[in-house]
Amino acid sequence: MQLDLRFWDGMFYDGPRPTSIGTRPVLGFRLNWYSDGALVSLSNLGYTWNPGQNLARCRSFPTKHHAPGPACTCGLYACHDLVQLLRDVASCAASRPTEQLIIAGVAGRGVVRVHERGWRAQYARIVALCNELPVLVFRQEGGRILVGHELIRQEAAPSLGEKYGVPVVPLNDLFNAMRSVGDFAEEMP
Amino acid sequence: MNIGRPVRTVEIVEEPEPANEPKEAPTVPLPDQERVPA
Repeated sequence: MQLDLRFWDGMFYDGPRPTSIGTRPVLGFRLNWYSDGALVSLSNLGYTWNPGQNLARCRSFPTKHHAPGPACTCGLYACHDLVQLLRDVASCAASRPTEQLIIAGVAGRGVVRVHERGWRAQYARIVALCNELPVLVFRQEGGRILVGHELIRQEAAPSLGEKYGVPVVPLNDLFNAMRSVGDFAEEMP
Repeated sequence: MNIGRPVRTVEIVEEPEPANEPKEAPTVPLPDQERVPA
């Protein structure tokens, strides 16, 4: 008989035993929607981030197991690096063109499911916000189409910085700002 | 966000905040001992 891991996840099966990798939360990057003065996750369920520590909860039906489940998609998401994240900006922005995207630096801890390009954590908190968003720009010059990018100022970022109690900085300064607010592992050990 | 396929599972257990160290009881200066004449 084959177990449906999405159902039994966390009840009789917790996945591989986690390897302890120390005490320093790991840094990552994520994209969020700005909505009602808060950061909201990109997923359909639209989790609203709290200031300080956030605890992942699985809202899959019918089972509510401990997040992040090994065979589920639940957990608090982040990308390992900013370049990977920026690849997603254009498609996200196109999906909801009237809404503002905000790039955030986060620190994850607890049980962390490490993936190829990012992680899903049990706990995570926002540690810094970016007040710029790169967008693709197309321009025609003598019959040739040139593609570039420009940085668009995200007007909501300063008030979000106050709400979450974190620094708000330009894109180029984001990683340094994240490092400066705590003792973190800069990449997954 | 597309984070790819799962690779491994790790656990990061943050050290608990150091408990407030008990403050030393304020030292009350003792009155000078009476000098008992020998």
